Amino acid sequence: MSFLVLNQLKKAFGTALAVDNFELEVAKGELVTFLGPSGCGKSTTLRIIAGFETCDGGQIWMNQQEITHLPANRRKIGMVFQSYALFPNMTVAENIGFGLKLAKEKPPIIKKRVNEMLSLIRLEVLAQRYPHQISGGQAQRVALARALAPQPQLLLLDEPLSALDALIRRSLRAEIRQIQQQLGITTIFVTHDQEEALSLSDRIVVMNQGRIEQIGTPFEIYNYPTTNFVASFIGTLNMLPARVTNAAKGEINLGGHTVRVAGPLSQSDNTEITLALRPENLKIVEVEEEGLSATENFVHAKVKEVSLLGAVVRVRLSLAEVLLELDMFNSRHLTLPVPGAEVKLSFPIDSGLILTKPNTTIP
Amino acid sequence: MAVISVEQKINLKPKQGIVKKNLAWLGLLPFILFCGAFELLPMGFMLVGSFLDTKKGTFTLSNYQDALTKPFYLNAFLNSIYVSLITAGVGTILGGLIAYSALTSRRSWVRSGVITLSNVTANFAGVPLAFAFVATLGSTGLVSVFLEKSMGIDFFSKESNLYKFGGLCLVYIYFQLPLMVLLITPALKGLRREWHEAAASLGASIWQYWRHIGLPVLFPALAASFVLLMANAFGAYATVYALAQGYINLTPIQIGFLINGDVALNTGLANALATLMIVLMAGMLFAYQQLNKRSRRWIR
Amino acid sequence: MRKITQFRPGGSLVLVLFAVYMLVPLLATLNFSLTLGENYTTVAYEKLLRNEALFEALWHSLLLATLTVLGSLILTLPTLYWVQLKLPQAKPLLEFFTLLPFIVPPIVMALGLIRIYSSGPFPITGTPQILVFSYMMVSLPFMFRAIDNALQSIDTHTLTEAAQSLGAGTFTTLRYIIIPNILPGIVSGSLLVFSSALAEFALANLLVGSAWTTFPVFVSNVGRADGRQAAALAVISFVITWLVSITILWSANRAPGQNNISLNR
Ligand SMILES: Nc1ncnc2c1ncn2[C@@H]1O[C@H](COP(=O)(O)OP(=O)(O)OP(=O)(O)O)[C@@H](O)[C@H]1O
Ligand SMILES: [Mg+2]
Repeated sequence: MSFLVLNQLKKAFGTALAVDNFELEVAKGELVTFLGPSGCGKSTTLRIIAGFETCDGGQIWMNQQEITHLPANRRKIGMVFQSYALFPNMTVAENIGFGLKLAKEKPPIIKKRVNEMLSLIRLEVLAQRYPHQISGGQAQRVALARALAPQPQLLLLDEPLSALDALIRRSLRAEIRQIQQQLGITTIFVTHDQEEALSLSDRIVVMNQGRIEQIGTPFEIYNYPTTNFVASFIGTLNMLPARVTNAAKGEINLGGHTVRVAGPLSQSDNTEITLALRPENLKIVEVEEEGLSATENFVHAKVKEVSLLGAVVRVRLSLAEVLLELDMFNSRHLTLPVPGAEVKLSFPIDSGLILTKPNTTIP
Repeated sequence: MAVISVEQKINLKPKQGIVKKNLAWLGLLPFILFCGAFELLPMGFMLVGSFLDTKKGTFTLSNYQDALTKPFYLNAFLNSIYVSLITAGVGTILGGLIAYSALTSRRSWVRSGVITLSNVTANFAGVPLAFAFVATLGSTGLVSVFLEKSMGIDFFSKESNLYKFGGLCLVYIYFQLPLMVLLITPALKGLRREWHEAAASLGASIWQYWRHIGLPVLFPALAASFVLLMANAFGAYATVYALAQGYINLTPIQIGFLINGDVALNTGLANALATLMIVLMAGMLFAYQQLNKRSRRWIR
Repeated sequence: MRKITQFRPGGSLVLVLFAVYMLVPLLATLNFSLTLGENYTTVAYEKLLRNEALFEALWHSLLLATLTVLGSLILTLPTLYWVQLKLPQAKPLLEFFTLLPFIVPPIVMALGLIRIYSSGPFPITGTPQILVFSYMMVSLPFMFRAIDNALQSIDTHTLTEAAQSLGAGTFTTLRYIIIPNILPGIVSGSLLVFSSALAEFALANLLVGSAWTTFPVFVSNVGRADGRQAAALAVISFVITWLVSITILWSANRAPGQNNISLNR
């Protein structure tokens, strides 16, 4: 049995379902992120696990024991909040030692453990400061140390990086992952930032309107989304209107070109559909040959605009009436496309996703 | 001076700057004159007068001697201290509980209702309040008659009636409670839910949360409110004047008698009593500041 | 299991008891003012309404409260603006002056005021003037805090510089830029001063007394002679307090961050 099991959790506020039929198993030492748009129920689920919120149905099992009705202060679950929530009347050291003090540890042991935690977050020099005397990034590291000090069985983080600026966000993200792996602590991390989720998770739970859309590794979530929602929520997508021409052969009409997608289509011929393509799957090519090759589709397009984003160059093109975006790696030897030029694009036949209406599962 | 300040180096015409600054103080003249005439001067006269013999106008310590040794005045002073300590204490504790219960109520009309009720009743003090309590708990008051008829409690008996100490406390608490609710509400709103949750996740029970976080964080506001309630009761004159002139011996009433009474006009003694009141208030403020020293380290 | 932050032992009971404690005296007083023995009567109110002195006292108090508000505004507003702009280092001095009336009870102030203003160059004891001045002093903390909070919440410096770069003088800036921007604070402070001046008793009784009767002094004089009229006057006073407090609450809601507490003792 997994370390943490969430079984059919339900929570409603009034008539609105905040969490609906939430099922998840987390292995020991795993870092799982909850990812989803604002208001989709991430915090509510996390707070149910922590014991701050009651659930209307379902069970929580941790370490083979049911904790659904255990009060929050007996669950041994560490929590880190978006707003740090450091106790303003205690120094950094007192904040970190508070959980141990409650556990009636002896002062020398508390002191030793607090020093360990301070060196883990590399803030030894700030031990005697009060929370209002340290920066946001430092405060969040102290909050992490405070949550970890009593050696909880599970660590919960609710958007711990949202209140910080971009630079600190990245470095602290890496630091959290490193500390988590060093201690091997089972962790659930809530975020609405997909880059954050993709970069630090073992597995991602994508949520929408209180329900789980997909659970998978970052690689699976990005490259093999199983629902329209996941496909459009993660990464940038070109959404191109198209029409099925030959369902059996997987052929569709895209702006006058016939292109192929992997496998036969379940839609009947002449159905209007949407073809979703990631910008990085599109390539500008020089080859003369037109039409269908074995693995690639080729289409004509016109360059509209070229913008440099840093490591990536984003090209906006028009294909017949449809606008689309293409990403290519930046390098010194790159010849930038010229706005107004006609170019040829290629994309692998298995890179396109067929979307019909939102929120239906892709076959 | 060896050190030349940056301002002096940069300022090409330092003289003019200083003249301008001094002229700027002129703008404060009306305010300072007013406060001089209606705050400092009266207090100065009071202080000087407390050392002067009322009849002869010569220097004397007898006013203070009278104030601190004659049982009549000493009792007034002690009564004033008791009534303000008791009603401020009760007001702080119960008012805090009321505000907390109201703020944590799930029904929004309860929250706004308590605030509105407090606003109105906190301003309803003085003579009309005294009359309202006479109509409620006086000899023919509605509640005292009800208590006597239904439960046989004789509220107007010799020992426990409205015109004695306990009754006065009830009246004072009537304006202390809502005042406390208004004073402490902003501080209670500042207690963040996450502190409670963070403490719980670290294993704290509700009591441990209040003992280690809630109360220490609230302490400065609680102490300040207590001092304000204390001052409020200590200086209260109108309520007790209208309620029980002559029955309850409080310092403000004595001062009123000594300057307005037909019998015992003794301004020297009145000045001494007033000075002692201010000394006591200043002492309270000082104690409050000492108590707050620890908190000041973590307050922004 | 309840949410941990909703822990409120006996919360509802506490609130019910509070409401009872606050409301019973009011209802008892209303009842007392309207009954004679077992019978319902409005005789106390009729007697009061026939008493011209009541209206005179009410008029006196309204006039006094209005003048106090005006005086307090004229004294406080330009001073605070000036300090904010030119003399921030004078702030602690002003705060000391505005703290004094909080610590020094009115009865104590009355002592010195009688001494100074009964004779000498300004013999104003016994006249409404002394009340206006002493009420301005007593209510200084409320006006000061309200206007100070309002001035702190706007960027006085930048606004003033912007106005002056367009050619406005100090008076024009104050009149057309600053005052309109801090109006909610001004209203809030004025109402607090108004309410405390309307209810003040100690100074009115000791400094002026029956020479120029204010409403609270009238209430005291009449009420001590007749219990039923006393109850009726308490009811009338409560209605006035209620009206003023509701107005204060309403204005405080429109001026976030403003206080709504004044002291009448
Ligand atoms: N105490 C509450 N009372 C009523 N509704 C609530 C409460 N808490 C949350 N909700 C509702 O439940 C839904 C889920 O809220 P939740 O806070 O879990 O979202 P979230 O995914 O954490 O969003 P965000 O990214 O903005 O933090 C929202 O629609 C929210 O309005
Ligand atoms: Mg959230």
